[in-house]
Amino acid sequence: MRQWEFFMTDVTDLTLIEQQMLLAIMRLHPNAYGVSIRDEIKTRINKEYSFGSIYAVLERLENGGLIESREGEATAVRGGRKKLYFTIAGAGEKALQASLNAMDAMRSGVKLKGAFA
Amino acid sequence: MSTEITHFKISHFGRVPRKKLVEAAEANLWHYDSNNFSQSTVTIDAITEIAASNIDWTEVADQAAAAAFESAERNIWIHAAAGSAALSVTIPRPASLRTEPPRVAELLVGWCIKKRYRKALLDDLDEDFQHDLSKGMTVARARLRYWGSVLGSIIPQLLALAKRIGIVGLIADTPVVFGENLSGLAAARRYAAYPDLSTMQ
Repeated sequence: MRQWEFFMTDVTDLTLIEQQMLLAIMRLHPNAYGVSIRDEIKTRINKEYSFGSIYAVLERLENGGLIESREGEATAVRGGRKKLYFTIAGAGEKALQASLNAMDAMRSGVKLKGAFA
Repeated sequence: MSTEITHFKISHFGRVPRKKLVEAAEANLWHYDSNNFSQSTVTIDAITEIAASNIDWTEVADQAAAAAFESAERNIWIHAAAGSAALSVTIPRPASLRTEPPRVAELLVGWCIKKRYRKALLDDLDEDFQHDLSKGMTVARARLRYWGSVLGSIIPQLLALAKRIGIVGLIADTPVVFGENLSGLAAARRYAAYPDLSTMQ
Protein backbone atom coordinates (compact mmCIF):
# COMPACT_ATOMS: atom_id res chain seq x y z
CA MET A 1 0.00 0.00 0.00
CA ARG A 2 1.42 3.35 -1.01
CA GLN A 3 1.29 6.41 1.27
CA TRP A 4 -1.48 8.12 -0.69
CA GLU A 5 -3.51 4.93 -0.66
CA PHE A 6 -3.19 4.72 3.09
CA PHE A 7 -4.55 8.22 3.60
CA MET A 8 -7.42 7.52 1.25
CA THR A 9 -8.72 5.19 3.92
CA ASP A 10 -10.01 6.33 7.27
CA VAL A 11 -7.37 6.43 10.01
CA THR A 12 -9.72 4.45 12.24
CA ASP A 13 -9.33 1.52 9.88
CA LEU A 14 -6.31 0.05 11.62
CA THR A 15 -6.50 -3.70 11.89
CA LEU A 16 -6.07 -5.47 15.21
CA ILE A 17 -2.51 -6.54 14.40
CA GLU A 18 -1.65 -2.98 13.34
CA GLN A 19 -2.98 -1.67 16.65
CA GLN A 20 -0.99 -4.29 18.52
CA MET A 21 2.22 -3.44 16.64
CA LEU A 22 1.83 0.29 17.23
CA LEU A 23 1.14 -0.24 20.93
CA ALA A 24 4.12 -2.62 21.25
CA ILE A 25 6.38 -0.08 19.53
CA MET A 26 5.19 2.62 21.93
CA ARG A 27 5.72 0.41 24.97
CA LEU A 28 9.20 -0.64 23.88
CA HIS A 29 10.38 2.80 22.82
CA PRO A 30 13.23 3.24 21.95
CA ASN A 31 14.13 -0.47 21.80
CA ALA A 32 11.44 -1.76 19.46
CA TYR A 33 12.79 -4.17 16.85
CA GLY A 34 11.55 -7.43 15.37
CA VAL A 35 12.40 -9.78 18.24
CA SER A 36 11.38 -7.41 21.04
CA ILE A 37 8.08 -6.56 19.33
CA ARG A 38 7.23 -10.25 18.92
CA ASP A 39 8.20 -11.00 22.53
CA GLU A 40 6.21 -8.03 23.87
CA ILE A 41 3.05 -9.16 22.09
CA LYS A 42 3.62 -12.74 23.18
CA THR A 43 4.13 -11.72 26.80
CA ARG A 44 1.08 -9.48 26.93
CA ILE A 45 -1.54 -11.34 24.91
CA ASN A 46 0.06 -14.77 24.50
CA LYS A 47 -0.08 -14.57 20.73
CA GLU A 48 3.04 -15.38 18.72
CA TYR A 49 3.29 -13.82 15.29
CA SER A 50 5.88 -15.00 12.81
CA PHE A 51 8.59 -12.58 11.77
CA GLY A 52 7.13 -12.63 8.26
CA SER A 53 3.77 -11.36 9.56
CA ILE A 54 5.46 -8.78 11.78
CA TYR A 55 7.58 -7.32 8.99
CA ALA A 56 4.64 -7.34 6.56
CA VAL A 57 2.66 -5.19 9.00
CA LEU A 58 5.65 -2.99 9.81
CA GLU A 59 6.17 -2.39 6.10
CA ARG A 60 2.53 -1.38 5.67
CA LEU A 61 2.75 0.99 8.63
CA GLU A 62 6.02 2.49 7.45
CA ASN A 63 4.67 2.99 3.94
CA GLY A 64 1.72 4.81 5.49
CA GLY A 65 4.05 7.10 7.42
CA LEU A 66 2.78 5.81 10.77
CA ILE A 67 6.15 4.51 11.95
CA GLU A 68 9.79 5.24 11.17
CA SER A 69 12.77 2.91 11.17
CA ARG A 70 16.44 3.47 11.92
CA GLU A 71 19.45 1.21 12.05
CA GLY A 72 20.97 0.79 15.50
CA GLU A 73 24.47 0.04 16.67
CA ALA A 74 26.05 -3.35 16.14
CA THR A 75 25.84 -5.44 19.32
CA ALA A 76 27.82 -8.46 20.48
CA VAL A 77 24.60 -10.30 21.37
CA ARG A 78 23.70 -10.42 17.71
CA GLY A 79 27.20 -11.32 16.60
CA GLY A 80 28.01 -7.76 15.58
CA ARG A 81 24.84 -7.33 13.54
CA LYS A 82 22.75 -4.18 13.65
CA LYS A 83 19.16 -3.99 14.79
CA LEU A 84 16.47 -2.20 12.85
CA TYR A 85 14.61 -0.08 15.39
CA PHE A 86 11.09 1.25 14.89
CA THR A 87 9.52 4.33 16.42
CA ILE A 88 5.99 5.60 16.11
CA ALA A 89 5.48 8.79 14.10
CA GLY A 90 3.05 11.60 14.93
CA ALA A 91 0.62 10.34 12.30
CA GLY A 92 0.86 6.88 13.87
CA GLU A 93 -0.11 8.15 17.30
CA LYS A 94 -3.07 10.02 15.82
CA ALA A 95 -4.21 7.01 13.83
CA LEU A 96 -3.91 4.75 16.86
CA GLN A 97 -5.81 7.19 19.05
CA ALA A 98 -8.59 7.50 16.47
CA SER A 99 -8.78 3.76 16.04
CA LEU A 100 -8.96 3.05 19.76
CA ASN A 101 -11.50 5.84 20.24
CA ALA A 102 -13.66 4.30 17.54
CA MET A 103 -13.45 0.94 19.26
CA ASP A 104 -14.31 2.48 22.64
CA ALA A 105 -17.28 4.29 21.08
CA MET A 106 -18.59 1.03 19.67
CA ARG A 107 -17.99 -0.79 22.92
CA SER A 108 -19.60 1.86 25.12
CA GLY A 109 -22.87 0.70 26.67
CA VAL A 110 -22.53 -2.87 25.45
CA LYS A 111 -22.57 -5.41 28.22
CA LEU A 112 -20.65 -8.55 27.38
CA LYS A 113 -21.49 -11.73 29.16
CA GLY A 114 -18.82 -12.51 31.70
CA ALA A 115 -16.98 -9.19 31.17
CA PHE A 116 -15.59 -7.39 34.18
CA ALA A 117 -16.45 -3.88 33.00
CA MET B 1 54.60 -20.85 34.26
CA SER B 2 52.64 -24.03 34.10
CA THR B 3 49.80 -25.52 36.06
CA GLU B 4 49.27 -28.99 37.43
CA ILE B 5 45.97 -29.35 35.69
CA THR B 6 46.14 -32.30 33.40
CA HIS B 7 42.51 -33.08 32.80
CA PHE B 8 39.87 -30.48 32.42
CA LYS B 9 36.34 -31.54 31.65
CA ILE B 10 34.01 -29.14 29.94
CA SER B 11 30.68 -30.86 29.75
CA HIS B 12 29.12 -27.84 28.13
CA PHE B 13 30.85 -28.71 24.91
CA GLY B 14 28.73 -31.81 24.68
CA ARG B 15 26.44 -30.07 22.26
CA VAL B 16 29.26 -29.19 19.93
CA PRO B 17 29.84 -31.78 17.22
CA ARG B 18 32.99 -33.82 17.67
CA LYS B 19 34.27 -32.69 14.28
CA LYS B 20 34.07 -29.05 15.38
CA LEU B 21 35.98 -29.83 18.55
CA VAL B 22 38.77 -31.41 16.58
CA GLU B 23 38.87 -28.39 14.27
CA ALA B 24 39.08 -26.02 17.22
CA ALA B 25 41.82 -28.09 18.81
CA GLU B 26 43.73 -28.05 15.56
CA ALA B 27 43.38 -24.28 15.52
CA ASN B 28 45.81 -24.37 18.46
CA LEU B 29 43.31 -23.37 21.08
CA TRP B 30 43.59 -26.49 23.18
CA HIS B 31 44.40 -30.14 22.97
CA TYR B 32 41.80 -32.67 22.15
CA ASP B 33 42.20 -36.06 23.72
CA SER B 34 40.32 -38.61 21.68
CA ASN B 35 40.81 -41.33 24.31
CA ASN B 36 38.83 -39.45 26.89
CA PHE B 37 36.14 -38.14 24.65
CA SER B 38 32.59 -39.25 25.18
CA GLN B 39 29.39 -37.96 23.72
CA SER B 40 28.64 -35.63 26.60
CA THR B 41 32.08 -34.51 27.68
CA VAL B 42 35.35 -33.51 26.19
CA THR B 43 38.62 -33.80 28.05
CA ILE B 44 41.18 -31.12 27.61
CA ASP B 45 44.67 -31.66 28.85
CA ALA B 46 47.59 -29.28 28.97
CA ILE B 47 45.27 -26.42 29.66
CA THR B 48 48.18 -23.99 29.76
CA GLU B 49 48.30 -24.21 26.03
CA ILE B 50 45.07 -22.31 25.75
CA ALA B 51 46.17 -18.96 24.40
CA ALA B 52 48.87 -18.57 27.04
CA SER B 53 49.13 -14.84 26.59
CA ASN B 54 45.57 -14.40 27.80
CA ILE B 55 46.08 -16.23 31.07
CA ASP B 56 45.29 -14.03 34.02
CA TRP B 57 46.71 -15.50 37.22
CA THR B 58 44.48 -14.85 40.16
CA GLU B 59 45.10 -15.57 43.79
CA VAL B 60 46.56 -18.95 44.58
CA ALA B 61 43.87 -21.24 45.84
CA ASP B 62 44.58 -24.06 48.25
CA GLN B 63 41.82 -26.28 47.16
CA ALA B 64 41.31 -29.48 45.35
CA ALA B 65 40.97 -29.46 41.61
CA ALA B 66 37.87 -27.52 40.68
CA ALA B 67 36.69 -25.90 37.55
CA ALA B 68 33.93 -23.70 36.34
CA PHE B 69 32.94 -22.91 32.83
CA GLU B 70 30.98 -20.00 31.47
CA SER B 71 30.05 -19.33 27.93
CA ALA B 72 28.73 -16.26 26.22
CA GLU B 73 27.92 -15.54 22.61
CA ARG B 74 31.46 -14.88 21.55
CA ASN B 75 33.71 -15.80 24.46
CA ILE B 76 34.56 -18.78 26.59
CA TRP B 77 35.68 -18.21 30.16
CA ILE B 78 37.38 -20.96 32.04
CA HIS B 79 38.08 -20.72 35.76
CA ALA B 80 40.10 -23.54 37.19
CA ALA B 81 41.92 -24.40 40.36
CA ALA B 82 44.13 -27.41 41.03
CA GLY B 83 46.52 -28.07 43.85
CA SER B 84 47.90 -24.70 44.81
CA ALA B 85 47.30 -22.94 41.53
CA ALA B 86 44.31 -21.14 40.12
CA LEU B 87 43.82 -19.69 36.74
CA SER B 88 41.24 -17.77 34.84
CA VAL B 89 41.31 -17.78 31.09
CA THR B 90 39.24 -15.89 28.60
CA ILE B 91 39.49 -17.02 25.04
CA PRO B 92 37.51 -15.96 22.02
CA ARG B 93 35.15 -18.62 20.83
CA PRO B 94 36.63 -20.16 17.70
CA ALA B 95 34.71 -19.26 14.58
CA SER B 96 34.07 -22.90 13.84
CA LEU B 97 32.27 -23.34 17.15
CA ARG B 98 29.65 -20.69 16.43
CA THR B 99 26.94 -22.86 15.08
CA GLU B 100 25.27 -21.39 12.04
CA PRO B 101 21.60 -21.64 11.16
CA PRO B 102 20.58 -23.85 8.21
CA ARG B 103 21.83 -22.30 5.00
CA VAL B 104 18.97 -23.53 2.83
CA ALA B 105 16.44 -21.89 5.13
CA GLU B 106 18.40 -18.65 4.98
CA LEU B 107 18.44 -18.83 1.20
CA LEU B 108 14.70 -19.41 1.17
CA VAL B 109 14.16 -16.28 3.25
CA GLY B 110 16.56 -14.40 1.01
CA TRP B 111 14.47 -15.35 -2.00
CA CYS B 112 11.00 -14.90 -0.61
CA ILE B 113 11.23 -11.82 1.59
CA LYS B 114 11.46 -8.34 0.14
CA LYS B 115 14.90 -6.80 0.15
CA ARG B 116 13.87 -3.93 2.40
CA TYR B 117 13.46 -6.02 5.56
CA ARG B 118 15.32 -9.16 4.49
CA LYS B 119 18.47 -8.45 6.48
CA ALA B 120 16.57 -7.43 9.62
CA LEU B 121 14.42 -10.56 9.43
CA LEU B 122 17.43 -12.84 8.94
CA ASP B 123 19.23 -11.17 11.86
CA ASP B 124 16.15 -11.62 14.06
CA LEU B 125 15.94 -15.30 13.12
CA ASP B 126 19.65 -15.69 13.86
CA GLU B 127 19.25 -14.00 17.25
CA ASP B 128 16.49 -16.47 18.11
CA PHE B 129 18.66 -19.36 16.93
CA GLN B 130 21.67 -18.32 19.00
CA HIS B 131 19.38 -17.68 21.99
CA ASP B 132 18.01 -21.22 21.70
CA LEU B 133 21.55 -22.61 21.67
CA SER B 134 22.64 -20.50 24.62
CA LYS B 135 19.70 -21.92 26.60
CA GLY B 136 21.25 -25.36 26.10
CA MET B 137 19.02 -26.55 23.29
CA THR B 138 20.57 -29.10 20.96
CA VAL B 139 21.70 -27.86 17.57
CA ALA B 140 19.26 -30.19 15.81
CA ARG B 141 16.31 -28.84 17.78
CA ALA B 142 17.41 -25.23 17.32
CA ARG B 143 17.68 -25.83 13.58
CA LEU B 144 14.25 -27.39 13.53
CA ARG B 145 12.83 -24.35 15.31
CA TYR B 146 14.63 -22.13 12.82
CA TRP B 147 13.01 -23.98 9.94
CA GLY B 148 9.65 -23.63 11.67
CA SER B 149 10.11 -19.88 11.97
CA VAL B 150 11.18 -19.57 8.34
CA LEU B 151 8.23 -21.56 7.02
CA GLY B 152 5.89 -19.70 9.38
CA SER B 153 7.17 -16.45 7.91
CA ILE B 154 7.00 -17.43 4.27
CA ILE B 155 3.99 -19.66 3.81
CA PRO B 156 1.27 -17.19 4.96
CA GLN B 157 2.65 -14.57 2.60
CA LEU B 158 2.77 -16.98 -0.31
CA LEU B 159 -0.78 -18.15 0.42
CA ALA B 160 -2.05 -14.57 0.62
CA LEU B 161 -0.37 -13.81 -2.68
CA ALA B 162 -1.76 -16.99 -4.23
CA LYS B 163 -5.24 -16.02 -3.08
CA ARG B 164 -4.83 -12.61 -4.67
CA ILE B 165 -3.34 -13.56 -8.01
CA GLY B 166 -4.14 -17.28 -8.13
CA ILE B 167 -1.82 -20.24 -8.34
CA VAL B 168 -1.39 -19.76 -12.09
CA GLY B 169 -0.53 -16.12 -11.58
CA LEU B 170 1.85 -17.08 -8.80
CA ILE B 171 3.73 -19.41 -11.11
CA ALA B 172 3.60 -17.03 -14.05
CA ASP B 173 4.71 -14.08 -11.98
CA THR B 174 7.63 -15.81 -10.30
CA PRO B 175 9.70 -12.64 -9.96
CA VAL B 176 7.00 -11.09 -7.75
CA VAL B 177 7.02 -14.12 -5.48
CA PHE B 178 10.74 -14.29 -5.19
CA GLY B 179 11.34 -10.59 -4.70
CA GLU B 180 14.08 -8.81 -6.51
CA ASN B 181 16.34 -11.79 -7.07
CA LEU B 182 14.53 -13.41 -9.93
CA SER B 183 13.03 -10.20 -11.22
CA GLY B 184 16.62 -9.00 -11.57
CA LEU B 185 17.50 -12.16 -13.45
CA ALA B 186 14.43 -11.85 -15.65
CA ALA B 187 15.29 -8.24 -16.41
CA ALA B 188 18.85 -9.23 -17.21
CA ARG B 189 17.55 -11.87 -19.61
CA ARG B 190 15.23 -9.37 -21.27
CA TYR B 191 17.98 -6.81 -21.64
CA ALA B 192 20.35 -9.45 -22.96
CA ALA B 193 17.92 -9.95 -25.83
CA TYR B 194 17.98 -6.21 -26.55
CA PRO B 195 21.56 -5.08 -25.96
CA ASP B 196 20.81 -1.60 -27.27
CA LEU B 197 18.55 -0.90 -24.30
CA SER B 198 21.45 -0.86 -21.90
CA THR B 199 23.01 2.09 -23.71
CA MET B 200 19.79 4.08 -23.94
CA GLN B 201 19.73 7.34 -21.99
